[in-house]
Amino acid sequence: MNFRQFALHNTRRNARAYLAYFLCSSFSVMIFFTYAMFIFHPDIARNDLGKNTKILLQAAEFVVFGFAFLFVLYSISSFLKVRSKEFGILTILGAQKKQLNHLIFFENMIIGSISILVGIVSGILLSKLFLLLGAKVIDIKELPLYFPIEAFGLTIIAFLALFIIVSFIALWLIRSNRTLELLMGSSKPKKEPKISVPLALLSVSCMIGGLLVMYLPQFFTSTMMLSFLGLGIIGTYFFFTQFTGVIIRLLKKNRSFFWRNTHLLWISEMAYKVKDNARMFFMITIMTAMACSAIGFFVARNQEAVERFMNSPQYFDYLPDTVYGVSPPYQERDWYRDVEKMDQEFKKANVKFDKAITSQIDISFKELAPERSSVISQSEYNQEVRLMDKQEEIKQPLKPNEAIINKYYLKEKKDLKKLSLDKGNIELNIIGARGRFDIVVSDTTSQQLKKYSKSENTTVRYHVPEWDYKKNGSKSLDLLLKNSSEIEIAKNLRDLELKGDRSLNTRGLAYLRDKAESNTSLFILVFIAAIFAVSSASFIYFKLYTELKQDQRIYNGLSKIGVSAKEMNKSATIQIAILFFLPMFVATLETVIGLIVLNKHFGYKHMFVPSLIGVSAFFIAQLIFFLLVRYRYILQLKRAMV
Amino acid sequence: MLQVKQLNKIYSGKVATKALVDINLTIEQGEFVGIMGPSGSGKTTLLNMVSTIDTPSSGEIYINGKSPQILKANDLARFRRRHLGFVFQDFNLLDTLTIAENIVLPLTLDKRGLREMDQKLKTVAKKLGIEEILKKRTYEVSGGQKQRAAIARAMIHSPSLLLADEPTGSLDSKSSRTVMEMLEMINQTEGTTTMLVTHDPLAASFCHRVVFIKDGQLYNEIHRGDNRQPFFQEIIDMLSFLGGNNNELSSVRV
Repeated sequence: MNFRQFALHNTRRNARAYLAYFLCSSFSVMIFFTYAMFIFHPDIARNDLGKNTKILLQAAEFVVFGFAFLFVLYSISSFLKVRSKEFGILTILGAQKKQLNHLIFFENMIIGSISILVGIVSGILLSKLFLLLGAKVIDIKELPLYFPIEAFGLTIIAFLALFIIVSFIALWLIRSNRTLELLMGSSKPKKEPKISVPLALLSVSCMIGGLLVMYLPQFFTSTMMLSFLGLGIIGTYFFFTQFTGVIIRLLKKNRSFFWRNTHLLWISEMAYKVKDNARMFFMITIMTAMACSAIGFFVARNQEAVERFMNSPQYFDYLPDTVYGVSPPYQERDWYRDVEKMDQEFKKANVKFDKAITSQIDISFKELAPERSSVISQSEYNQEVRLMDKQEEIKQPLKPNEAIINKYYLKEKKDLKKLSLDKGNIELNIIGARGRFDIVVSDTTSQQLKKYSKSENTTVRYHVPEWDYKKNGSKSLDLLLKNSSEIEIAKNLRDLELKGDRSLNTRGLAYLRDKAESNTSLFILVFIAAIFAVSSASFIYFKLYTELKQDQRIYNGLSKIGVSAKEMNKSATIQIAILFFLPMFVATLETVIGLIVLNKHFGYKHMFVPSLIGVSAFFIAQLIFFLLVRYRYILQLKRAMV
Repeated sequence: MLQVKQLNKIYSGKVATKALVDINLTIEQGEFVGIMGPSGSGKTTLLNMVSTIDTPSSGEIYINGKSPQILKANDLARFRRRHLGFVFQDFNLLDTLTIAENIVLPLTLDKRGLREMDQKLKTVAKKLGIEEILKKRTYEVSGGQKQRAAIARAMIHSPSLLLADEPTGSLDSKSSRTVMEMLEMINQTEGTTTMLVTHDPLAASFCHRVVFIKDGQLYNEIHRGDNRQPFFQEIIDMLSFLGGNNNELSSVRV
């Protein structure tokens, strides 16, 4: 047996302890790899939706990686601490410091490599499913399978680097020169955790300060928002590191409670277990609360997108160009082919439509300076308003020296009677005010004004009367859209690869974009939340496992003095339940507060239900992990009892 | 008080090991009995049988006329914490608790009242001379103090049988002596029946009677007279006799 084989055997025989850690690392690798597969997919950047998704996914990649780093570091260093006795024995047998480091490094790399391998393989196995799901979520054409060479490269390099760096940090963390210290290792009795009452009070006041956010005026600045977030984070940190300790100390002081039944056993243990895991609790709580609030936020945005869609007019706006100087007739411009193609699309789908092509001249009047106004001719104005709002039509032909302006100009300048230009001999009398467009003039005046304008913007507007869904408003939008050709046509028009420097502007595409953005965020968040859930369970399992030997010894002794299996079961169950659900509980509270704040800030109505669903999903996942971990732990302890 | 009849323990496995063979032992109420024997002789196995944490292959054990073997697991736990007291070599005190909390642990499990617990704690701590360290943690006190705390825990519910497994095994000679004097004092004042398993002849010399086991069988027993010193010598002789080869020694004696 050489040294490497020794390391290999060590890992294999510690398999049970490493299991949760290994599975969790593999899971992180898998998610990382899957995201990478999306990011490097040749088809994803084809359109705007894909590009946005890519950016979000890249951000998510950093979060996953950062979290994996902390997780691996924490797990490895706590595991090495437990094994210090083993290292002490090796030192006595004459192992050099260098050899020990080599051993630890080698073991870590074995587990690291295997979890990278397993993660990537399971990622590949599930890739078809993920690509299908992903394409569906962001509503783009199905992404075909491809050979993700870049994703392989990125995942392998990133995680190998992670495991190497963590191994070095871990070695540095457990450095200890005295063999005796190593040999004593974790069997040294632990000192009572130090607790500072002022810091506990600080935690409470931070939390209360954070709660005050609910009584803020509706609009507050983002600095206020951030400072409340900061308060919440500080409060949570000291809640777990200090406040829980104070609570336990108070419980201990109340002897008629503490000196009763199994309370003596689990409360005293709790002081250590909570303190040991406080940082982990803090991290998990903050992450869970943020993930759940974000889930609510994005689901609400989805709802909001639906409402925005319903309240938008059923237009298709095509903004083909901005002309500087002389403008040829529409038919002679190069984008007119596109308009014909678009007409074709509507006809193909058998949809009746009205169309208006309008141009607005960009011009600056003396009376309105420095603001610039858009001027439209009466005939085009009438064409346009006829699409939607026939009452707004200006029937009586305007004289060349007359103009109708928008109402909001009168709000600012009540005595506005005339409009004039610096250059030329143009003076317009204002004869009325309407609600649409800046300024309407007669067709001849409009031609005249073109000389003095810098630019002219053209819009092609399609209006489809049958797409007014408000009549059958009770049905869900997705259902309505399924029966309607609106989205279909919108997508087809988008894919026409239109000319012109500005593209298509429709509520359908806007809806698709909004939905894709929220869905992508949700897609990412759900997986990140899953990583949090799995790793928090894994942390707890790992911690319990590393202390199992000691606990077994304690319970062996306790069973001799008459602690029954039932009492052990009760005491262990309470402890594990607190480990699993205390962060969960705090996270739920913080999610609710977070949602109230978001609700105030954005005025979204539909956030609570989805967030609570998110929280419940978390809860159920934790419950399953709790039952599994508890079952295994108690089984092991029972074996030690006589 | 304690009756062991025709006790056998066989550890099955690839090679079946007879750990105890036909052991008969009676301990009277208030008696202080030591069990000695070389390593592997079966004395700890015997203690485990008596303390109900292991079951015999055949034979019977009666404590106060009752047979604990027929009890179910939870009743067994209750039986242990009401009728038996344990003292271990490695103390088995919980590091997470103070000395006082460690001592009252069996009572809290039995859901006794706070006043009763306080009163018992005070009495037993005074008797063992550990009143000043009650509020301290296990890592703040010496080995001898820990063992006295462990004795206090074993005694607090006035058990009918006190079982001590190498109680002086991890202590220096001065602490060992104090601990044994405590056990002797408790045996005398409270009349607690005590069974002590030990390697240490000095510890054994505090007993009324020492039973020797060899290779799973009762070998001999010696009684203490009025004086401890000759008893100590007798035990040492017996041990050296047990340790050597039987034939050699007997030929010398004859």
